[in-house]
Amino acid sequence: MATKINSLSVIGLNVKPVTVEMDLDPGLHSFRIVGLPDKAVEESRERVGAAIKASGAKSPQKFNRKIIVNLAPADLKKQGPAFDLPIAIAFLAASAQAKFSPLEKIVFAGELALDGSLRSVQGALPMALFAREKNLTIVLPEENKSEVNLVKGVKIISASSLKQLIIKLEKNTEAEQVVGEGLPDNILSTTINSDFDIGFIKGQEQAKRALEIAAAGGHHVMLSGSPGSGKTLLARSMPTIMSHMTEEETL
Amino acid sequence: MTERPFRTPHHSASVVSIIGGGTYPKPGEITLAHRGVLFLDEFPEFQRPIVEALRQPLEDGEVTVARAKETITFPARFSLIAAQNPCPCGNLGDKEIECICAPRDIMRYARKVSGPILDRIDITVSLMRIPFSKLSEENSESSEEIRKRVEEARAVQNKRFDAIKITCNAELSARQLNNFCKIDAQSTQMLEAAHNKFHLSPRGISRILKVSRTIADLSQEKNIGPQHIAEAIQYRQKEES
Repeated sequence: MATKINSLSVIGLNVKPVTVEMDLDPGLHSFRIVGLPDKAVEESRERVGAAIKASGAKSPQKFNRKIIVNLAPADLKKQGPAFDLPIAIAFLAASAQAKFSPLEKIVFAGELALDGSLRSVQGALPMALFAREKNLTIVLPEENKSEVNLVKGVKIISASSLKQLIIKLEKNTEAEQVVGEGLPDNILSTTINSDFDIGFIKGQEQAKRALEIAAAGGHHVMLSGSPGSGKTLLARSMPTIMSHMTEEETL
Repeated sequence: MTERPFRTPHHSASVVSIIGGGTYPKPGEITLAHRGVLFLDEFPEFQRPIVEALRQPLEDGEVTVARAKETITFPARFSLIAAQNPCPCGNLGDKEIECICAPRDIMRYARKVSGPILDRIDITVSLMRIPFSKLSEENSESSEEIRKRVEEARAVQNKRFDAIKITCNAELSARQLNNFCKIDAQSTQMLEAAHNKFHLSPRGISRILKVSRTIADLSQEKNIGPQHIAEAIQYRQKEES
């Protein structure tokens, strides 16, 4: 029976769920990844192999089995090294080298180093937002933790190496996860330090008023004037009069 | 992190760097300026395709980048601040310095930014040279004071738009405009007069309404009054007949 592990593909800011399916068949050794992988995903075979070996388990290359990894849906192009981790986990589960607690409600993303440590991935924030929406737990490299911690209420499991993660996943996963804290309070009240205070600009009251309105309502402004009349200076001081973003807007 | 982004690309920028693009599309400056400010200094010096490509994002707050491999919609709800000189020598309209540009040059310069783009800009202001006496004056209102008013106005908007998932007046759609920007008879009259005199487009009218809504928010008033409409009309780029 094929093993299924959930992962996510991020293109731009759009997140799509990807299922990593793994099948071990009797037969001559081969290790293939199908499902429109790009170069980085193809090469994941080598990283996964070395990382699993470094974690003390038997690597796919040592198995005299026909190993097929399918990244479903098969018509979506997969890019980037974030599939290393789900492929490794899928292999460990499929080859019965680790006994994980149920993994259906968990999504994985992470790049593996040859020594088995986990490297950060791009697009962790949109992934976390997606996971929160679908009520999934997200497994990420330690380096991405501070980033996804900004998403309030998302369930996170982070680890710095594959080995550490295996131990965490073999235990009760509920106990290992932490919940995203959202934005720290102090960040919302930091004041803006800038050399460009609008008060230092003499005259041009109408332009200042225009910028005030634009800052308040998000409107577009055209400043037209002779060289040196203060257009650039006024625009540069714009950040000092803008409101802070709300939590919703920040993400 | 909660500071709004402020992006100032130089005018030698390429279309892709501003709008976004690539085989697997990547976001451009307009997306990086999402919810903040995109400041384009020397606006007419930007490549024509860039200026024209801003049409969709200026209107919709997002940009759809279509490539053979992928079509992606990036958010781009920025507030554009464009700066330009009135003519190539920069002195057109000055009371004391004479403009030395030939009328043809002035026209060519003005034509670099097309009508459809100007029509999408809500507020246009002309800056004059400041007399020396003004330079030695006391500092005016500080950023801190202005920001306080802006924060308050934003708070009003957030509360009002809570149910419809938008955050500021500029995002109002046509239908929402009817709900949130009701005006009295006197204001309607004023708007009609402005429409006839300056040949405003329907978009022009709706943009005036949005700006006047913001002006009313800044003074913490619930309804848009004639004085708010009047101020908004005054900022509108006008073609006088």
